[in-house]
Amino acid sequence: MDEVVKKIRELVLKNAEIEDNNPDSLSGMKLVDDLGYDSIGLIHLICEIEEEFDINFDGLDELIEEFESYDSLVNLVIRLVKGNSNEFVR
Amino acid sequence: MNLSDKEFIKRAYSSVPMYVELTGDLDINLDNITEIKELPTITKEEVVKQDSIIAADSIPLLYGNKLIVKKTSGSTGKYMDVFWKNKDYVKSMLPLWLMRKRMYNISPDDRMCFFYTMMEMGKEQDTYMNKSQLGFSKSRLDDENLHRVYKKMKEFEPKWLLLQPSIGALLCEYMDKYNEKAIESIEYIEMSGEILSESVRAEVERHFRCNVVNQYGANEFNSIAYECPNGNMHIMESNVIVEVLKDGKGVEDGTEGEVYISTRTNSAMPLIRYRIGDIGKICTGKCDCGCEWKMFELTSGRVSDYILCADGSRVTSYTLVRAIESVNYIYENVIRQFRIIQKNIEEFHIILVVDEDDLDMCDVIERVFKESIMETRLAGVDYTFEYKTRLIPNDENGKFAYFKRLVG
Repeated sequence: MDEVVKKIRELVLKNAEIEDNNPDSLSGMKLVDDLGYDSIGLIHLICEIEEEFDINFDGLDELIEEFESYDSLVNLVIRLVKGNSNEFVR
Repeated sequence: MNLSDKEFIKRAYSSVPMYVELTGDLDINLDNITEIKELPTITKEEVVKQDSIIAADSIPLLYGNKLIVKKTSGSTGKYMDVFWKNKDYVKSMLPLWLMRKRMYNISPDDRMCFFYTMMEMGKEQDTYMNKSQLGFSKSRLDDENLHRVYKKMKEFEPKWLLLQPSIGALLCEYMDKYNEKAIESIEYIEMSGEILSESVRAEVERHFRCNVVNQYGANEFNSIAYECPNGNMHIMESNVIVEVLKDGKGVEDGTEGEVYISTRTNSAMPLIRYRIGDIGKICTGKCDCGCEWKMFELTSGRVSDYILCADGSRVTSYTLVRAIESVNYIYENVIRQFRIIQKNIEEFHIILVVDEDDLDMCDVIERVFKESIMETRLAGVDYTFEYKTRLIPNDENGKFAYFKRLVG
């Protein structure tokens, strides 16, 4: 999962509008307030994460809430990635 | 009402001056509220002073210019500034972009064309362009300008268009008149801002040979409902609560009535149980498109009509709306509401609602209005003006028509 977290960080920073493009940690940051995301940036991020990890964010209500903060976004993606890998367990 | 809505409403009702007053006047106990229908409804007429509908914690942001400002468009005949915190605005717009992407594969990066009023753009300009957007002013869409517009659209090769139905109809008329073919790159046209009739939809689909999708929204709330590939309008439930009332009482799903909207996202200026001025119904049943959000049908809403000119041609009424907006642009929204009546081919009666303190500005308002009319076919006509200080009520059908034509 470390690789997953690393990739999420890369994707988040790629679309973020911040001065320091390599902060030590994104934990605790809000995507809109702290990382400068607008609705267009969030859509880009959602699409890129779905493609990168081959997951699908279902349930628009939950998605909108989870994308408020970096930490909840990471948790959501990890949950979905784990869920996908479990599908192939025999 | 879920917990999140309850908290949102409690915060709004304890921090927005207008609601605080209503709480006292109507003896509302916020802790006991379990359903939104227990709260009072509000109308545009009651949202008179901007300050009274802004949450206390947002007032410093307002005066520090840290709120996003959107202006309600001229299509309702009434102007109001709507204020948003940035994160609320993003949260509000996200479901629309998600549905565009999921249902029709439309992304923010895709090239698109749109039409705007000067008020929406914030300044005078015929064209707006960036990497993925090409916009055109809708105030002067005569044949000469439509040639220019259509040529630029063809060169730009947009994937999608965002149009008002009246603009869509105008483009179709132009294409017929000059035998213009559909722009091949266009795969999707989203219609918003006015009620979309089946005849206009059919015309646009026939001319452009692509998906035509209806989106119901308002600057007070952003997107309210969006059409899925099955043709059903789904309420954007993460963004708004939609109610349908008749004589102030809720009706069963499937029954038509007045539409009231409550924001779920705008904490700076939370409009709750706000009568938007449209008529519609919440539909029964489920849609198999995959979207679980309830379905909605607008049965009567904003209508744009055409001005009839002396030579028999038609001009969009936005031409005169633009003149109103010019006045408001220069004189900071001095005109709070308007109605334009075409009494005869060359006679227009303009009703303007202004504050009492601004009644001494009549001469300058009229001068700027006339100077701002760009359409040459309307240059020599007669304009009479009437001033009111109280908002014009809706028509008997519950709608407000900002333009009425009594001729032709």
